[in-house]
Amino acid sequence: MRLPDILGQDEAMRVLDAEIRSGTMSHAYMLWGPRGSGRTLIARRLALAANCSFRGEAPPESVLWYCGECPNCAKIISGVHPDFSIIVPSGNSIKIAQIREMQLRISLKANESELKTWLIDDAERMTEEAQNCLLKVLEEPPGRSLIILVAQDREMLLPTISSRCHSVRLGTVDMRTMAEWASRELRLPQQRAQVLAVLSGGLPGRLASLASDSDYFAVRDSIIARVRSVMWCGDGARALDASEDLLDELKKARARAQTQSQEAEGEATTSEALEIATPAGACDCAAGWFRDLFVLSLTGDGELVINRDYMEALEEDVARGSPELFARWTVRVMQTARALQANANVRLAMDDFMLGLALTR
Amino acid sequence: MTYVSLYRRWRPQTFDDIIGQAHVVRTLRNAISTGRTTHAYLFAGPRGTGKTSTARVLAKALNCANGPTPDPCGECVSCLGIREGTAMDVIEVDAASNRGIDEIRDLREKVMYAPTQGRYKVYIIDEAHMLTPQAFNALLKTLEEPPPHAVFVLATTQAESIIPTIQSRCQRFDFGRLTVSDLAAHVARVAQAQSISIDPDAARLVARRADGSARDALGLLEQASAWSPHVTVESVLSLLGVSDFDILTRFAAALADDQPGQVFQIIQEAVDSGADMRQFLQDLILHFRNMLVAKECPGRPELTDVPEAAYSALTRQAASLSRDHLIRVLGALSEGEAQLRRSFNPRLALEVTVAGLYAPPEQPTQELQPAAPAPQQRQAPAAQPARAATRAATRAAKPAAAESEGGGRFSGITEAQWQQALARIKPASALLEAFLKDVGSVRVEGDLVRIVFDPAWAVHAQKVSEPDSKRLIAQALGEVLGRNVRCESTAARVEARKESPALQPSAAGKSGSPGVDFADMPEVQAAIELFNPREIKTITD
Repeated sequence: MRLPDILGQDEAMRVLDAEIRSGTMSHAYMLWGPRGSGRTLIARRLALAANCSFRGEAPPESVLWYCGECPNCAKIISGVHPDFSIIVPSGNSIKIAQIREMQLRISLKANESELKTWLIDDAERMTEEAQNCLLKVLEEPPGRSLIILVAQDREMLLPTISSRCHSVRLGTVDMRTMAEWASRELRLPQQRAQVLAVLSGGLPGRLASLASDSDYFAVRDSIIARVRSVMWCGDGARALDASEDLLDELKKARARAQTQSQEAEGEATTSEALEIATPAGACDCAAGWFRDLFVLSLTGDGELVINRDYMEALEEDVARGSPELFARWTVRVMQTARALQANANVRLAMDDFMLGLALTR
Repeated sequence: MTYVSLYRRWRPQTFDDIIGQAHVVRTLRNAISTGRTTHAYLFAGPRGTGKTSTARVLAKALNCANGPTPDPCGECVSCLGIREGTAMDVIEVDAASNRGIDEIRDLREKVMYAPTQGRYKVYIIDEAHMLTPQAFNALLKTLEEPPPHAVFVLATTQAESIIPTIQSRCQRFDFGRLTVSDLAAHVARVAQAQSISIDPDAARLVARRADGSARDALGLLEQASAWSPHVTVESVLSLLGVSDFDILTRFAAALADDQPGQVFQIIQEAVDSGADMRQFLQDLILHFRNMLVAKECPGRPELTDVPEAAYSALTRQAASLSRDHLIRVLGALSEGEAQLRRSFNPRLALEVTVAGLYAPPEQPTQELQPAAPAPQQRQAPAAQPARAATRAATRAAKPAAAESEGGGRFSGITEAQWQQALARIKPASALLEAFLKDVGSVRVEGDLVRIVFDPAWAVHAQKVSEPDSKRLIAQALGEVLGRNVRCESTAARVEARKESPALQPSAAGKSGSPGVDFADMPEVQAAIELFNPREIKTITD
């Protein structure tokens, strides 16, 4: 049995591997980086490499090697190993009760492996109480233990937590590797692989879910269309209409995506459509558009563009405005995104954004 | 046989092992040797500064077979037990897990029983800030008058969340962040004992990055030593994922040469290499900061964070850029960082910050449009870097502006005299002197010196109006002018009305701040036309 291969992240894997090989493995790790970069996969790989019965026989050129056949490997991969536990948020957060339960169980002796391994996924979603509760056991776990935290950002956790872990950051993967991988593994046509590689921002997990999510592209099309219809109209009334229509469309798309993800229950993929069909997602999408206009008008370099499937439309828009204007629009849409984050009234924020778009020159 | 993390293996075992907390150690030692230990202590301080370790050493000192002694033997049953965490009389409570009133009630009951082996029962209540208010209150009576054999040590990173009634019952010790040199020495010592080979520079770097925490420093050392057999500055930097010096230099060069294509190309490169955008931005900020330092304090490489080899390249680049440019970019990037923290799309946030460097400031006329609420615009952090659009122009602008201001700035005193006075102030307060360099105008009328600042420099005016500042200025000017004077300072908006018009262009030219002269704007003119001009009062504030 094997885990899927990990794309990129060579550096991070080598750092972890070096510690296993030199026998200086810590009892606590924090793997942090953007969602979709392969964090959980690497965490499981680390658990495998640390638990594999034949880890002493790892070939020198391999990184985080595991045999895949011994009972430890097989059980960890299929998720039934008694000494390997995964904590995930229950509801919106990881609660103190979950950590207390872990504290109880971690003091028991390991059953089959020499090591008790815990993986805390989405660790930044631990409540403050849960984080504090974890502190003592994270610093000095009883017996032989390995605690792996997977988090979005180091700084979203208490400094006392990150100070107790060896931190390893996982980054984004470069576009070429991503595109090759997408056309090889996901069997996408070359051009589409390219587009998705750029659009997913170097996150393989995101690319995979984008590739199977046609709703995402429908929503994106309509956001871009609405924004473009307002950009050059110079007409406040039209801008307000567009704002209303866009919010309606987003609402419908959201409802649609929600029913779909409920039907496909069991698959733990986050729906990209669900994310872009929010006002914040729409702002993000618009910001990407203006950023493209800005970069393209300033440099004329198509390689730097994110929305590559929209090249013609972008060039059309670039011909009508100046870099200064595009920069101003970009700044403005980011302000709206910030306002939304700070719980602004969605309707007002969107109206304000669209009006500004129509009237700022 | 199992490997134990360095930071656990190197936990201080005696008072002498505790680094950087001399004030705590000395007080505790003296208290122990004179037999004046108290029954409740509160240890407060940031992570990795030695709170829990000191608590354990204190427990050892009190219970040691040869004690109570400030130098516990480390060999008796009690010392060993504490070291292994098996001592019956030292109860370490994880307050974050046992935070409720029931746990505290339980603790209260057990406190009454006498210690089994040692002299004292020592309760180490770690992460004490997590106790619930009810639990704290349940502890109050016990903490105030515990049985004679009980000692409580509360350790916390957040002393402010400990209720005052608890605090007042404890002797409080504040643990400070360790200094870089203390930490560097510690890292070097541990490395030597563990036969890890490390460059002195690398030890300093590890110490600096640990931000005052011994645990972080040893964790980093441990990781670095596994990463490369010989720990160097480069290997630590690569472990930390710090951006390459080369990419930072190229970014700065492309920005200065007005090559936006390259600037965005470089960002793309950073994205492709998997760099964390926030780290990249922080590194850029540090790079510009280093250049500023290299420019202003030449020949002091230790003030920058760069490896020696890169320092000359840094100085070279710094020399090619103006101080104003550096400060402006630094300001814009720092504001961008604040935004990036909150952003859900870090790359976009970084690019928007950079785009802001190219966006001209929004014209006041546009702010009148319905969709552009003016206050929001001004606050927008990204609108600030917009001023940098006139980058090329302003690089040369400063001397020009100074010349054009020259005429009306001084009266009753020559510029040379003013400079002499500044030179006298500088040794006493360099800050004040720097502020005074930005003065709008200076007029001496009899024994009164009026110092006026542009409204943009209101902070300066405030600083100058402080009694100490006034005294310094009066003294210096008195020496230069040969008579006693007193001085008074304001921001220009008060004075501008009646004082010389020369201030106005200087203010506009200097800061580029919008709308110093609103009266000239066509909108305002039109508004004045609408009403009866004679009935319009000008309110400048």
